[in-house]
Amino acid sequence: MLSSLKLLQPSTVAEASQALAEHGENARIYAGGAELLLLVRHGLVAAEVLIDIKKIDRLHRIQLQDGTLRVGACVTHHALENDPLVREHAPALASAESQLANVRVRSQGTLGGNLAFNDPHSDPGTALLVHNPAVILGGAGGERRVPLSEFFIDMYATALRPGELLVEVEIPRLPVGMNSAYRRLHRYQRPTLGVAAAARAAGGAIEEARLAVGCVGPKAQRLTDLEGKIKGAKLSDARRIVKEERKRLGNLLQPVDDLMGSAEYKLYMTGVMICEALEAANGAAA
Amino acid sequence: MEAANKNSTDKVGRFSDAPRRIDLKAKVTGRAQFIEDLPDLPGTIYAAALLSPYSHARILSIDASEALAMPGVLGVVDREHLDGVNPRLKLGAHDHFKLPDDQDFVAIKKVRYDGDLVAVIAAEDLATAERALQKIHVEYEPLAPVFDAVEALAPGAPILHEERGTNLLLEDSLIWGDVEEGFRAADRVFEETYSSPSMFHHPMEPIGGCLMHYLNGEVNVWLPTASPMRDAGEFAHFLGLEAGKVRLRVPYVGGGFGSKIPTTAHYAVLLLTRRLQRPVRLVPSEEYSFRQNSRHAEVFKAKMGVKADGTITALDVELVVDTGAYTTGGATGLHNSVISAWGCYRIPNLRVRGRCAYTNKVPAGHTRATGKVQTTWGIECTIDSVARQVGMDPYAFRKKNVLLRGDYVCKGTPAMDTDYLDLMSEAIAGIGWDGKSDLAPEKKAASSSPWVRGRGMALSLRHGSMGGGRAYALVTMDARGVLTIQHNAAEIGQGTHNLFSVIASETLEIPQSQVRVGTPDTAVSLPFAGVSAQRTTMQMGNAVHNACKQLKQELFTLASQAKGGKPEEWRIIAGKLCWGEAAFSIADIVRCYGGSVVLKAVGYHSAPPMVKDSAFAGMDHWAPSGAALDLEVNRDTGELRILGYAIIADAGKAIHYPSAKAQTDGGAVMGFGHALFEETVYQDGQFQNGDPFQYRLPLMKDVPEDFYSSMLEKGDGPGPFGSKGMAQTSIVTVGPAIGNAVYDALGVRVRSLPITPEKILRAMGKI
Ligand SMILES: Cc1cc2nc3c(=O)[nH]c(=O)nc-3n(C[C@H](O)[C@H](O)[C@H](O)COP(=O)(O)OP(=O)(O)OC[C@H]3O[C@@H](n4cnc5c(N)ncnc54)[C@H](O)[C@@H]3O)c2cc1C
Repeated sequence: MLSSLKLLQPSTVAEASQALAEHGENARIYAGGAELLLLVRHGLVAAEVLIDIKKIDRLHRIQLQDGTLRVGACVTHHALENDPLVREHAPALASAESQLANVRVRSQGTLGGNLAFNDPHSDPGTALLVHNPAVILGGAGGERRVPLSEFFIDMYATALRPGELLVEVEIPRLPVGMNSAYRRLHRYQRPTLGVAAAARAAGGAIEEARLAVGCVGPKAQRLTDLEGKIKGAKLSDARRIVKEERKRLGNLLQPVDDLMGSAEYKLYMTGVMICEALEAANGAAA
Repeated sequence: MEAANKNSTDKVGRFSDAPRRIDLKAKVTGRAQFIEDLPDLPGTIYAAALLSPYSHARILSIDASEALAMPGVLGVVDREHLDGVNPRLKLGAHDHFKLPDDQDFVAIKKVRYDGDLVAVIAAEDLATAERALQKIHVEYEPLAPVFDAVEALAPGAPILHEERGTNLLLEDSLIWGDVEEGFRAADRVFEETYSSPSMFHHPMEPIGGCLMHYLNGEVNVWLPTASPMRDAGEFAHFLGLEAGKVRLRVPYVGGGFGSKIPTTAHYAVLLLTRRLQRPVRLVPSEEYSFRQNSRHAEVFKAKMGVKADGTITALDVELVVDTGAYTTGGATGLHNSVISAWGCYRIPNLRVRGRCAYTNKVPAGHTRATGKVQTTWGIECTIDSVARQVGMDPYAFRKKNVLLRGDYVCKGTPAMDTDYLDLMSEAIAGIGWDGKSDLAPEKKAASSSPWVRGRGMALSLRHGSMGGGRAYALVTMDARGVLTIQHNAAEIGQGTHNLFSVIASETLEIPQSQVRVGTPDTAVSLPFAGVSAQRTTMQMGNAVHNACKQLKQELFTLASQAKGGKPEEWRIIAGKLCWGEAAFSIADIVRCYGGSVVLKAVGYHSAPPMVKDSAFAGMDHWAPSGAALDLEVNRDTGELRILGYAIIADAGKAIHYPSAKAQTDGGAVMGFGHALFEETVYQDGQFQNGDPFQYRLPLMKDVPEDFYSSMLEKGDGPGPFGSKGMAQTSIVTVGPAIGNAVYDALGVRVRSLPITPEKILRAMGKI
């Protein structure tokens, strides 16, 4: 049961961060509320003041500027999955958004809420990582820009400082000839495993590949070592290389046994799905 | 009171052009009242339950004083506040076992599962009651829990009920012939083990809601339950009242599948309403519901002897059944498993031995086809596996060994009364299969696509409606010619009230719009064991049929006295009483008595009597089904795609076709849940997935698009119009049909439910 809460509705980022600074620990940013209201109801978050940021126009934008796609924090999953700019510019993200949970959660939840909450069992962060994006964080002292790979610190922990909110995600254009794809494994609403790949191939060999894995492990992360190992390899050899690297992947990701499956299963499937995502990214590029 | 929708049903004599269900409109428009829709009575207060967070712990102290001091809090029931009642619940007598009364309705010394009731608070409103729960201070001393029945029976396991000295609750067996002899006569002997996890029924309406009011030495109870007469009796006994002093009414019930029985907190609510003399309401949450009931986990271990030509010579089965923390449905779970473990085959030498054990899990009551989802999974995979190992096609092996119509089955049962060959041929045709399996599936591994096709089948047999004593129905024909049926069979989703309406309309040959069906109310003392065990159509259906036949006879007698002729010369045709050329409305005849006379008749059904030394007490008929399944499985990921499923149940006669078919469909969909997803998981001392977010149910997308369900209707059952109980036949075949199809595709066997991609990968040795 919800206890009574105070709702603030600022109309600018500055007002929002000011309200955050003012109420400190008692206040929470309230975007879609898909996550937050559950937390409050179960007594896991003791907020007294909710700062509803949905009245801030700027947070609802999806804009292509000089080759960079800018997505406001309050854009919903549903809007992202259907946006032609996103589909063209960041196919992995559009794909991840379309597979996220169910249409009710997608219509309510926002990209900013998802990234800021940083639940390990999430989709968009993994898909975004292969696009080398950055997030814009706004606070009392203005705005700063942090690469997404540095924004995710640990499960439920991000680079957000007290008084700061996530304003926007900047997604640069992929290099020419490169495409991205996302693969998701799930048994429940939330994903068991998410894998993203962006790749460019020429003459059957991988010229450049970016790989990211989420859910298995505490946070979504890039697999830079593996990316290096498959660079220059034939697509048909990638499977073998990924298999050889499984042990190293295990050390990096540290999967655990839980309701979704055993650590061994998750690691095995990570290998399978890296290859699937790579093939899909290449297939799309071809 | 439900009445038929006029224009859709105002015809008689049409079983198959299926009028709309009489409760359809109310349910679709939201007008139908379930327990939470019933308005508060004046002065209603709210109860909230405190459940144990530990699976096994001693209670060192409970202190509710801070909670009781809160404004708005009216009272508590815990071990310190029992109003002098004996907290030990009395179990009903069982046909086959002497059962121990092992459960207190509220924890006294120990808690034995995550969810055991510790206290119930009553307050002016729900929010206050829930806040007060947090102010009850309980000191626990955690004890080691045991979550597996086999481990619970091993030496050194933590003991749940110290006074018993063991976790073994009951033992049971079924023996005929001589298995040792049978194994000697066999050319080959095979051993197979299959296990099923505990799971939760997950009715849409959570378990445990109620509204109770104690007034002037009597209690009015509104409760979603399957067995109002039994529950009213138990509540009266608990309070030391005469049976008639508890009046229980049943609103529409939002699904049960065996789970809608009294919960421990209901007894606390009885005490609170008596103490406070105000109506008390309990509104359960999903998390609470998950902790009220479950299905028995089970291990099925079989040894089967066969001759080289595929004739079965012997079957020896050992079962371990997990009843959770208390007896609850342990006796039925064990007994049903034992008497169904042999499947539907001619087995000259049989021995089934079962043990039922306590574990620190949510107690297992009854679940749609209690005990038989587990044994059908075991025996039908065993049959497939043994057939393949002797080099026979599983379909041919089944045809060779299955019981045929008229075959003797066992002492105390009817002879086999169905046609398995028809069930099998229709099932395989339903998925467009000739029934032939791939006897060397390993070879398919050579193909380049990761997706491999496989097909499998499964048969099932369970006893039809069994025991439960007599069922009574009361029918009243008023001076308008309107018939009212009173009974104590709850409408729990399956269409019972509609069924009675159709039976009455068919029997009396009056339009359904002239039939009213009452809702269960124990004030009209009409015994019935409850809507469970495939009893309703058979037992209550027959009682309604019988009552209507008596009434019809009386109408004929009355008509002949009033208008002439002999009773046997009268007929009812299209709702009119006819004698030769003369036709009268029923109202005309009823009014012959003058004044406001009504005609009444009490009808009943008696289950066949118990047969001495038979494990099959008072059985009316057999209830079989046959299923076939077509799938693709991905060799790299273990993922399954169900391409088609066909299920054929023997209904004898579908009295209301859409409802009977919905039972077949619904059972199969629930079966897909059991086969592929559902499992209650216990780890690190706790129930891990006792909420709808973490408990995976089947979704619409998990049901194959090519889904064929049908019924055999030979009019050969002992129910009204030749019907049989059939609602539990379709749930059991899904698991083994999938398991067998996976084998057909890959040549590997998954031996525990649910069949997950991970288990398939493990069986293939990929992880
Ligand atoms: C049933 C269900 C299924 C789900 N399945 C999935 C799934 O499959 N994949 C997946 O990725 N996610 C899933 N989620 C999670 C959910 O969809 C996302 O996390 C959602 O996008 C959260 O967004 P929101 O706007 O509702 O956040 P809110 O609930 O409003 O906020 C979440 C948290 O982030 C903070 N916050 C919100 N916005 C900002 C901001 N701009 N700056 C700083 N802090 C902020 C809030 O203070 C709060 O702590 C699921 C959730 C539910 C309830």
